[in-house]
Amino acid sequence: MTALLLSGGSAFSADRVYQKPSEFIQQSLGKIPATQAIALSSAQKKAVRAIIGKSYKTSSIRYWSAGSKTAFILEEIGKVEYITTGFVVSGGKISSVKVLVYRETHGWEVGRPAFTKQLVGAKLTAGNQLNRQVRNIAGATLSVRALTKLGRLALYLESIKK
Amino acid sequence: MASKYTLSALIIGLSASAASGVTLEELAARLDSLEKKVQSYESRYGPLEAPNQETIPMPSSSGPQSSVVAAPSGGSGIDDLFLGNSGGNRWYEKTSIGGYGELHLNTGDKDQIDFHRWVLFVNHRFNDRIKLFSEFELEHSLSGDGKPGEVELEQAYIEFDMDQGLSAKAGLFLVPVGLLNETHEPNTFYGVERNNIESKIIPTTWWEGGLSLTKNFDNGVGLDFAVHSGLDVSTAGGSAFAIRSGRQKVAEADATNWAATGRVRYNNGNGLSLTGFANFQSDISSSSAEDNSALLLGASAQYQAGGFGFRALFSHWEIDGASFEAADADSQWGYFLEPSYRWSFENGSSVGVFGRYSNYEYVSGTRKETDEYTMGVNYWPIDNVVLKADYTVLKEDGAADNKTLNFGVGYSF
Repeated sequence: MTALLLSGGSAFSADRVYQKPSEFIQQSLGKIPATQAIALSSAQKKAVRAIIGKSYKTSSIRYWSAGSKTAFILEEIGKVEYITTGFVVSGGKISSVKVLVYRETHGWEVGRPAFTKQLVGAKLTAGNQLNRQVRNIAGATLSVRALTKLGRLALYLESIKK
Repeated sequence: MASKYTLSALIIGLSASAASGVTLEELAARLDSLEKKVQSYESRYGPLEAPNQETIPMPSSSGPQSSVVAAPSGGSGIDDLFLGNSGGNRWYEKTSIGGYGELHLNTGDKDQIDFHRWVLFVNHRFNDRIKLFSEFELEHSLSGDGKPGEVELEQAYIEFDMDQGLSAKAGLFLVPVGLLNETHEPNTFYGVERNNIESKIIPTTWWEGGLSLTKNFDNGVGLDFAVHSGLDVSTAGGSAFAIRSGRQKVAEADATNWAATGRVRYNNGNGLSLTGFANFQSDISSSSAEDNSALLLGASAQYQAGGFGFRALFSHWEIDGASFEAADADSQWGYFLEPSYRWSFENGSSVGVFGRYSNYEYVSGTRKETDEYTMGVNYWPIDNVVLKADYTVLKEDGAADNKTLNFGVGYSF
């Protein structure tokens, strides 16, 4: 504790970095393709708001494509901090999910493969909901909701990218 | 048209350069240097011109995060965007508010409407390691002399995040026991009123002042240990020996006696959550001459599979001392079982039904042995808002059945 206080908290982050975003893209796509971005139209912004309950943090969203696979690095607040999550979507279906950076104090369990595997294979319904129910984690409800929303967002974004 | 202007500018530039005595070789070197800089930029942030795509920077009302200015292609450039503090460093980005509230209408022996709780969270991130969490509550809508409510500080602690999975708290925090004590937003549980095990046995909402250490492991196991101020249960009056009466609420509280809490958590990440917890009080009552050390042991289980949910909680106090034994208050315990089923709809709303059986024995003046049956429905138009209704039959030995029909509305954000 003394060392912590002396460091003033600036020495390094206490965030849980499970994997660097670049490594996720490299591992998922076999390379790091050129960065592309979806500039959301007004109608698309409205759809995004319906999915995550508010505007996304940026009005354009980056993605990386290789073959039929598209990788997104998306962020949403659990309770007070952003959860940075990597998604790979292929043919309208989530093919992999990994929590890359977890910053909240509670709810780190959403970073476990035992949880994220529930999203693998999920598709969007006509109402932009997931076609399956994600099991809650007691004490991590807000983080579960955040990841579920991001999964829906990743699927939606893949459907509108050019 | 643009290239025409560019060519004109180049010719003008070359003429000006020639006039100023710069040689063509020097210009070629400068162009080479410029080209290398462009290549370096593009390798890091992507092409300067991206056909068929708009560039990232766009004015937006969604906040300062939308001012990110480039689409990096290099690995380190991508990582720079997402690692570190993603929430921003301006004071208003480091401070967050939240809250919850619930209005209850109880009908039965006594008809009553009450805005039971109005709560405001104010949190602040001083830096990535040191954070403030606070919770301010108004209970029963109106406080003051002779009024039913209270204004309470339920949480105010500094959290120190030490490394991955290890954190400490110092200040006033919620005791890590039971199912509701730390997470009690109305949209997270069934039933208008909270279950009575977490009122009569575990005195939820229960907060103390002290120090706490938490360690989370990647395999789903979590440990909590806290040393903090203790309860001070009265041994006289209408609520004598009632655990709930012992909450001092860290309000000029007697600090002669201490307490400690430990908890082990396991979550399989796929719907199952188990906890075991213990709380030790060095002397749970300062009003009796003797020492009354006390131990609370408890366990909880939660499971969800699809719409099906199940919650169970058991807790038991064992209290030493002749005064508690004489009042038949040395053992107070209770448990509840709560199956439920929730249907989710395309528009984001959901409906859940539940049943709950509670059995508990506690002392408040006299010993009370109670069975309680509750069934009801929650409707969530969105996840943050809930409308509730339930019917409760409370059977206390030696007393007439108390049947109540309850309605509630709650929110959290």
